[in-house]
Amino acid sequence: MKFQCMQEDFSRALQVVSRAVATRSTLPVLSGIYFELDSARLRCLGTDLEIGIETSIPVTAVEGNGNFVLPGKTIADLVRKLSTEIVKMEISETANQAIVKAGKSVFHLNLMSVSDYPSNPSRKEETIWTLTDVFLRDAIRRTNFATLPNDSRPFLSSILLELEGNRFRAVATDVSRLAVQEGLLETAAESKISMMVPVRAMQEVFKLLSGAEEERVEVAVSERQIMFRCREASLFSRLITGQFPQYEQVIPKSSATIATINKNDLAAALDRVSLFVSSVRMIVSQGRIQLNANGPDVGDAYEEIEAAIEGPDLEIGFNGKFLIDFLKVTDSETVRMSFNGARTPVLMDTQDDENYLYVVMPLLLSE
Amino acid sequence: MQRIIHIDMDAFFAAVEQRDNPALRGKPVIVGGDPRYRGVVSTCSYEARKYGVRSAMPLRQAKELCPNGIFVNGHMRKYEESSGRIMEILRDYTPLVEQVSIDEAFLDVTQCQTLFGTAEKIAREIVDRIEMEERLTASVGVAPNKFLAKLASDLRKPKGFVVVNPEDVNDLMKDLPVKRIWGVGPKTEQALLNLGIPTIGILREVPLELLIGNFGKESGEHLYRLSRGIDNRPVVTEGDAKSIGHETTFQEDTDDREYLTAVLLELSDLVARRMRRYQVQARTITLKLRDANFHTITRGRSLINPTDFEEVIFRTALELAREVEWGRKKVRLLGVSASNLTRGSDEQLSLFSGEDRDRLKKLHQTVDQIKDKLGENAVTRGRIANLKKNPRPPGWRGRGE
Repeated sequence: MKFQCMQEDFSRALQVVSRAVATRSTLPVLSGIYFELDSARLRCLGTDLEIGIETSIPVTAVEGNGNFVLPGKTIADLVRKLSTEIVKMEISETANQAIVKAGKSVFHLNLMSVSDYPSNPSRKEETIWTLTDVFLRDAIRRTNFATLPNDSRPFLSSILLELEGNRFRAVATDVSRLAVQEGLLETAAESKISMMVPVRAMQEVFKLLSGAEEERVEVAVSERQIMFRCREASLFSRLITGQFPQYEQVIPKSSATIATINKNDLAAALDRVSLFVSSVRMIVSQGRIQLNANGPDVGDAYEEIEAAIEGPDLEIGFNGKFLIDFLKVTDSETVRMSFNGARTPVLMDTQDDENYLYVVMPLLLSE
Repeated sequence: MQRIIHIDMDAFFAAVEQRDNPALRGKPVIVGGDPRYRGVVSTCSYEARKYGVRSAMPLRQAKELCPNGIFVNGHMRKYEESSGRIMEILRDYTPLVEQVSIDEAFLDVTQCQTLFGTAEKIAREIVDRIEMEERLTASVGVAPNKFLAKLASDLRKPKGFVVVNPEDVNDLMKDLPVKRIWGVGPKTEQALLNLGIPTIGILREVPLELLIGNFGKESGEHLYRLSRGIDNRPVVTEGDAKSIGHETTFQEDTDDREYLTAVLLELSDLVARRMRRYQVQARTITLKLRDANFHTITRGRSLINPTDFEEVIFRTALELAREVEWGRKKVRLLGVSASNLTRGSDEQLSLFSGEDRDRLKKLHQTVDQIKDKLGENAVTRGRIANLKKNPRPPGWRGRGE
């Protein structure tokens, strides 16, 4: 097997698939990158069995075809450091080596056992739909932080994706808060689907998105697996089985007190008081919001900002970080906080984007 | 001057057995289980010690040394209850009580001498009360620091009562072997002997540089200080302890997950109860597992909210246990501890379990009140009660940290 390709293409492809390559695995071959050569393209794949990323690059001067596995980190680092425009490769199965040539540099790299590499995931795809790159970016960016990626309870380490008709929803919760982003599909789903995708997979998908307005992402789902086909590469992930909580029930339907606040004012004030301690007391009264954080070992902080308040006064506690997380990902200039008391869910949203909402539970302050 | 009391119960487990069974009194009693099984002596009476039987000795060896010994199974719960009552007696004098193990504690009585009289008088009263109320004897050391107090309580066991004044320190320690120094194990002892330093008196004459040269800075300075009777460690109470934990060693290693789960629940109960008693909550729960090959795994997890609920401690510990696939190998030791302790901390409310916490809080308050009044066995979970009906393997031994 022989081929040649552009160093830039090859390096970029290797970097992308490397993100799914297993770093610690009981199956050593998973630390490798799998390649499949046909007459015009080289397909590259990395997987740790939970997620996988694949992409392909154009190749020329192809002789023969087939598949092989190379140590992931070594080949990716090597190709990245090559300085020629063209990289030539030759796979010698008899010598069990890959020969990498770039200008006058020559490298012999031992092959990994291709027969040990797990067979490619089934391509039995049942449902396919399309959404915009931009929308998927928002859906991930605005939900992924409200999770607990290392928790063993499945719903805390995943993002729930729901489709019904042409509506799409991404939902995440870490029990203390809930983030919901809605949007429209380009093509309507045939039936109602709801599935849990590991938050790690969604974060990797995010990195594959370009953010370009006209870009589209195709999503395909089978019983156990989801595949995101982006322009640069495709990512597949296993779906998580388990129950997601009845999240709709905790979204407040009405509220007693509503505060409308300039986002940057609130973010800056919270940022400063949280320097002292993350537990923040908020006093909502006519025309203003007072913030106060009191760390027994640090000192205390006080901030006051203007706000339009409807409804009765209120005193409530928060983990300041939870509020800041929301403010960071909203694009509107003003935000709304809707309260029903100091112990019940607080709704945060904006007037000009009804597709995104955030629910946060208060913190009961000790004294 | 600082006054520290060290209380050390005499042959505690054996003494409790003798107290509760008159037929055992005056006899060589060996607690640890049936000498036909694998296992070690956990405690033996002074009558048995005359034959050379010692704690941690294999039961089989104890049987050889003392063929007429009466071997009994331990009754951990009884010892724990007795220990609890003794600790309560100590706390009548000062809150500064550091329980070192089930049968041993330090008290810092420096401040309360104005209230109850001299340290010596307090110590005397404590042993009298333990003897009267618990019908057990203890040995006591009264000294300016923990090291000397422990050294003193050990000098004239059983029923020892040794008071160390600063001017007596050098005479008292002069001829004692170096292994009596806290922290000197068999290895350090051998190293000291090799250097021609058999006694604390001789050690005191060794220059600091030489000790540091031989044992490193930390250990060298440690030996230098302790050989002069200097020890600045404070008495650490549970309230400012860094962690609260319980663990248990099975005499027969087991891979029975159902049984392990029940024990885990009981350990979680004990930890939570102690946390509530000291009004602390933990942010981190740690599980400890030791397999038959003495390979130890510890895994910790942080919580969103600090807790003193056994339900949360148990659930977290069980999750950790499942993650390390416990029971795949036989388990020798199981432990749970709570650390990162805080007091009266903020509580992050949860979106999905609204009233759970308040309900549990009330339940725990009620159960704690009943236990305070009627004893630890008054209320028990079904699962733990079952555990008691089908008792653990012989020689079960628990220990608080």
